[in-house]
Amino acid sequence: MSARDAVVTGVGMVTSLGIGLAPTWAGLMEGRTGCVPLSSDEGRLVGCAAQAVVPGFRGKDFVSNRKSLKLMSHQVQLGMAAAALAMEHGGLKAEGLDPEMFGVFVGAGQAFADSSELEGALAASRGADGGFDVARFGEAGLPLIHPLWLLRGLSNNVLGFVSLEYNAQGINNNYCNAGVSSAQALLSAARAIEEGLADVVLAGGYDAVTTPEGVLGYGLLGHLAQGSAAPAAQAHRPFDAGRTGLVPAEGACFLVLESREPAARRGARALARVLGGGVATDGYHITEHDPEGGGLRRALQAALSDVNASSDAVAAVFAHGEASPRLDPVEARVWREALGARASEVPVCAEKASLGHTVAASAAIAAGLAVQALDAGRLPPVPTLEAVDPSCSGLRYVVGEPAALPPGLILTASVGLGGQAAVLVLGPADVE
Amino acid sequence: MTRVVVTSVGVIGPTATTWPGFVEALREGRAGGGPVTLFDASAFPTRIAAEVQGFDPAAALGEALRRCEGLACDVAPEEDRKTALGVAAALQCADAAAESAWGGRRLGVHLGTGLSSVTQAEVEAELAPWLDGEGRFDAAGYGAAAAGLASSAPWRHLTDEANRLILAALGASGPTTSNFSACAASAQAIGRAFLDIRSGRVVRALAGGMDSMVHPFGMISFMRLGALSTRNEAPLGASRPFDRARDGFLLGEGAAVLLLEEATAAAARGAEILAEIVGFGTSIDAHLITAPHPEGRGARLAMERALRDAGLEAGAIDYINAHGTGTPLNDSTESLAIASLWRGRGLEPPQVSSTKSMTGHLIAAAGAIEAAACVAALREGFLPPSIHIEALDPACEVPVVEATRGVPADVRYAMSNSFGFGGQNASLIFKRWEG
Repeated sequence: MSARDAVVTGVGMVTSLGIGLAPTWAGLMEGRTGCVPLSSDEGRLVGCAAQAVVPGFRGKDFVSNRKSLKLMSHQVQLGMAAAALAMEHGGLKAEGLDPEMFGVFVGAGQAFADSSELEGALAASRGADGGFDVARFGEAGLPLIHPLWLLRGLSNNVLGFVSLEYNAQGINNNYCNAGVSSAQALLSAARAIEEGLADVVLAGGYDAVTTPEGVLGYGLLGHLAQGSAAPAAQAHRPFDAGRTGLVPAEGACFLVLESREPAARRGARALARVLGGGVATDGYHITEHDPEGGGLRRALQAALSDVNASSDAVAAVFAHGEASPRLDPVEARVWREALGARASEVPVCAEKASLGHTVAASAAIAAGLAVQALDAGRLPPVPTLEAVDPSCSGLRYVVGEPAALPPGLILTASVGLGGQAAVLVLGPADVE
Repeated sequence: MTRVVVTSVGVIGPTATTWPGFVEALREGRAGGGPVTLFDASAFPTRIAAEVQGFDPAAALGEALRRCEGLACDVAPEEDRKTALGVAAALQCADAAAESAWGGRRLGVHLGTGLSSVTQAEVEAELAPWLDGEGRFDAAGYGAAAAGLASSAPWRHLTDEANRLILAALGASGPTTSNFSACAASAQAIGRAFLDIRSGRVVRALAGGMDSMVHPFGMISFMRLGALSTRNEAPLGASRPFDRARDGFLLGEGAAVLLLEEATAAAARGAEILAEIVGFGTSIDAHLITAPHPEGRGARLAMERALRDAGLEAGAIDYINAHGTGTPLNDSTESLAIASLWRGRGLEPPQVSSTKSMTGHLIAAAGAIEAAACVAALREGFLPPSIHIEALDPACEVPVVEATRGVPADVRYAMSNSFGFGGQNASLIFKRWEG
């Protein structure tokens, strides 16, 4: 153990299973899912009938500054809530911290300025033929646009607002890399702490791909679970023979990472340690995945070499588990080959079965759950895995009841569009 | 101690579309800027911008796709303009280096990027038909039509598309990040690549950024913030950082990408070394989303952190390439931050200039093109000028390089500042290569 290890002292999350780590964990352990029916025009168009949204969410419960709240989109509010819950869970008060050594790293969803806020301006910009008239837009449309419209749409808003709320002035970055965004954030945060560039970091991610743009975008690529295949609650079926695609979801998760020694000094309990990780890409195609799983394979190798461990040290895996007909067998093969003779022993979890795919938030949620698993010594089951697809066999998926966590490290995997991949390595708080 | 060097630069900017051309324009104090041609801006309060001249996005993307060799990349030819700019600058940078620079699969790609670049044609063809009388967008109707298009059509504007395309075109598979930190984005990207190489995790990375907000929604959103100059009659003099009569920034567009390498690996392949990167610092204002801290607290902290990271005293810095946007607030608070940092140590601040006086403000790409300007200053031995200053603003109490051309000087250490909306700040320190 070293004084500058990056330990996790708090986890905050908002997911389709509830607001906070505790309800999310309870739902997972009971084998429930947060997936519910989706009945929008966009959903019908792309054949998807399930989504995972945060139930009963109210942004004002988590943001002290009402003026700021007005500048925040729904997904930004989800991020703020997760950050607030993480601070609370870690027993951390902004007042006691050195602002310059308090950093923020965020994995953010795509930067889509909200087009609904342009409605008035666009309606005023119709030309004689009913089409868009750019001259009228300049004259009549401009005054109708909210002066801060641009700022509301920026994808670094959670970073900005979190820093304001907790007076964090230190090292920071905001990543926008689809499904690996928040893995990048957590990895940068852990390195910043180890390199002495921060004492405390809020690191995580947020996203909502349940918007019309998200459903359409993923739907047209053919990535979404298909409506008739299973009830909405069972629609995200990683590694199952009946999988048809992912369930679009919203959510957010932040972790409080602290340097071991200052955390101990303030009496904080270290729940787990982030040891390191690896990122890589397929370099194969811009939206499809390498059938050989090149990116994930290289990310996994980079992660193990980053922490000087072999796969023998792996106690459990939180798989990416996209429930993709094409990607799941590739992922299963990467794990089989990496784990070798132990492939049939190492428990594999797939939390997206319960929570859907929160894309930019997903790696942070997986890491937050891995922290809880390390602290509780138990692993949640995959509730939708009924018949393992033969192409995904040879691994020990956790099904039915929760499983005990053997001693060792947990790997969490994330794969994004175009074969971007990241693997994080977490371990018990006192791991060497 | 692992050292990180710059061995190639690609620039597609408003003053030039090659690296040698960019250096020459910088030395000669040549500005870009003119009436907006990318869309009909005649009814807008600001009708000027610093556009990249003669750039063909479809050709740039076509070239990248050709190099993807048999990989079925169905990128629409009308791809996002900023993506095309970024891809073109990255390939220019890679081509200028020997193939030995990127051969091998662990080349990283780190780019700063901004919001979608939407063309007028795209708005007319793809947005307007799906608006009802109240201006509401019929997403399902649009989707039904888009289903007949290439499957990548809805993905055209994704922030990380350029990264994926560059990696596929170069057959590389290293770590990649897409940094979205508003105007600090590409400085963050270069810093991230620098840290990756310094820590020994990768040997080489392309790092920089791209942006084009010269489109109806982009320009109008800056206008609503009151950030743009309205000197429509004199576009070439519109960008006047540190001048008393500055009235906002001139919106620019473009991309710049640097090849960063671990120094011994660069030497081993016989690469020409252009400069070294020695320090990186970031901070957050934690003040307001809409305006910088009045005393430039975050700006000062980013500079201090970069100095500490480099193990340098403030007195070592010979030149600061300021964020210097030309908005009334930025230039005075940045000057305050610089003045307080140096004078607080009993030192006179170094020479300061804003190359935005020539290139305009490239938003997410600003940090990249200004890193390129620092490399030019160190390698060629001149201070890039801050042009268009008629009367220096007394609120900007720093030594500004008031000149119309580059000023020959012995420049050993150069600092580049980039500050973004949302309060993110980044400073990079470059050093002349002395072996």
